[in-house]
Amino acid sequence: MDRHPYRDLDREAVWRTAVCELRDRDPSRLYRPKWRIDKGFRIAIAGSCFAQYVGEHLRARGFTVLDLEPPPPDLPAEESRAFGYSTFSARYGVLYTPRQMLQLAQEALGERAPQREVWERRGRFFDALRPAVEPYGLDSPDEVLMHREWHISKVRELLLTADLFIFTLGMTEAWVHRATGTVFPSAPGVIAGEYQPELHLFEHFGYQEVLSDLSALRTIILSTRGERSSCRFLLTVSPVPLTATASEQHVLCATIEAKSVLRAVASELVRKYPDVDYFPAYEIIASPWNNGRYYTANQRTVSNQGVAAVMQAFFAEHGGNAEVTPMPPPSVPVAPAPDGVDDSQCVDALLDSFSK
Amino acid sequence: MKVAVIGNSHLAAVKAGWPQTDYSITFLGGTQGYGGFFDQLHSDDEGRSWRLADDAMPIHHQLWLQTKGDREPYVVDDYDHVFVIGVGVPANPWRLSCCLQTPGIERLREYGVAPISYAVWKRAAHAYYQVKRLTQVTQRFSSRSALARLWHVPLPMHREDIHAFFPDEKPPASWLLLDEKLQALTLQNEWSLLGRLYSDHGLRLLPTPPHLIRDGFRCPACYSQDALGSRNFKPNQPSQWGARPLSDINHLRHKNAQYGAEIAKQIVETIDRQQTKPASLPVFLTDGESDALH
Repeated sequence: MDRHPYRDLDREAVWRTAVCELRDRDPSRLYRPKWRIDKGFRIAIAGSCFAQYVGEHLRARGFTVLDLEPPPPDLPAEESRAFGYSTFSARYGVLYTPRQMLQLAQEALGERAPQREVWERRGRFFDALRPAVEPYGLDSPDEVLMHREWHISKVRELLLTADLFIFTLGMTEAWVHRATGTVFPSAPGVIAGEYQPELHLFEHFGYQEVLSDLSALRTIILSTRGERSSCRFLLTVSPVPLTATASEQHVLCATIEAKSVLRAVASELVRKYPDVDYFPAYEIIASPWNNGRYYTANQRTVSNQGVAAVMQAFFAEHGGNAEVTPMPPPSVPVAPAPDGVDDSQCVDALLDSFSK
Repeated sequence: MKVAVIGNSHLAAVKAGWPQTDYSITFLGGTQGYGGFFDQLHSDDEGRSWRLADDAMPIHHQLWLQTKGDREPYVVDDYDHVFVIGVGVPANPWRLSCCLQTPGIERLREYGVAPISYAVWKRAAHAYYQVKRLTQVTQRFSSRSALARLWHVPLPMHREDIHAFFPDEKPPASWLLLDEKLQALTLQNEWSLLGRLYSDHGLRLLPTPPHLIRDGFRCPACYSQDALGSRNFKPNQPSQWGARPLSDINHLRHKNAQYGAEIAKQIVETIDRQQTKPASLPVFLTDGESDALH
């Protein structure tokens, strides 16, 4: 018989046996981690909306997820998420693009000038780089800048102390400030501020840019920490499609393009760096593996079952499945999905209301 | 000029310390015990007047008569100014609210206190400062049109040495770390925040005069000597708390006629200021309307 590399492949390497004919769609089959994550790791969570659910489940199972900007003790739990507390590891809000994450890290680690852009809406003032964390705005621009200064100091502390950074990569589109290249998490005017074409530019990051940004992010974190401590990076791609695109493409095409770029970059980094790994949340939710059954009726929101399946795969490799502490009470969502996770912190979701 | 001064047992000190004025004063007092004075009130005419409920304990009827002087209902629109004593919680600077109401408060960041917005502060403080209760009580004694004329006088603070009897009542270490200037600023800031919270809910606050405050959230011990309570609504009675041990926490909060005189003076000055510069009518906001502001 002829010899060839595909002759004696593992069943999981062949589509027919691994996907088409498989009866038991155990998501843990898809995940082959490079290294173990144990409960001693101090974990930083950041990225797109999906990252907050990862953080919630990790906390519930006893993993040490850092929160360097906890809510005031008397703030009712159902209110804290509306103000960006208890969501990620600091109050940066959703970080949709790698460029945004990189700029935040650069600012926190002293390699980018402090960002002082303040947006206004009806006499209230907002941090342009995280407008959603104070939905009612602040009293004055000075107050915004005071809050930002504190926040940046906490992000710096986070970047210097975490053992593991879990980043969920969301999008490749962004609105930026023309002159400085500063990336905004939402288009000016959506939450606050005012869109001005002469000041604001649409950017659509390609493969090389995303690769460069994430590589630079890793480099700046590791080089600042130096020999003091190592850290690792776990990348995921958010399975949540774009709510809207400004790329003049069909939103489905824009979504696939974005996710493809992000996924390809993740693979490149995993191949290149021993301290970078990838977790297949995207594949578990968005691929033909589950025929879309982990999305709710809007075909965009990940269902609670979907999140559970993703985390089941994670914990199957890193422990934690047997030990569950009660989940925090759910926040009151702005626009509740019937059986899906709350995406009220997802600024991207606001764009849905602007369609004609 | 008709003035109503209403309160629970803490009214006794103010009543005892009330100066001679040209105003027509109506006192109306009760006790927090036996179901609580404010909760025993009932209106037959959609809030235009209030009386004690039919099933109110006799003690409430007795105290009503002793303070008001008659058994007639309290008619809301009879009064030009209304002061309610002993419902509001005084501003507590030990909460270390790094919310920028007063310039300089951002220094709290040097002590590891995270800055918070007013919207967050307000939501965190809502239960502590008993806003819901304040609003309910206000609705008893004032109509929407008369809100400009109703003020809340906070509960007195506990005696400064309360921790000698209740060790957990010591000022927190985080407060003691602050230098004096920052303590003073934090105190001013917390009162300013509390005033804003009241205003958001269409309420008015009469802040405790600074000389009645010690350590930010305590009261000089001299105002506890011969402290008065609801038993002192009846004239010529010995001090209700005078013979009681200091280990009774109620004793540590109730105050004497000297304290009451200070508060009475503050009330009279407030009325006088209103005469020369009437306050604008605040909008009485529902919770939803107030939330929409912040």
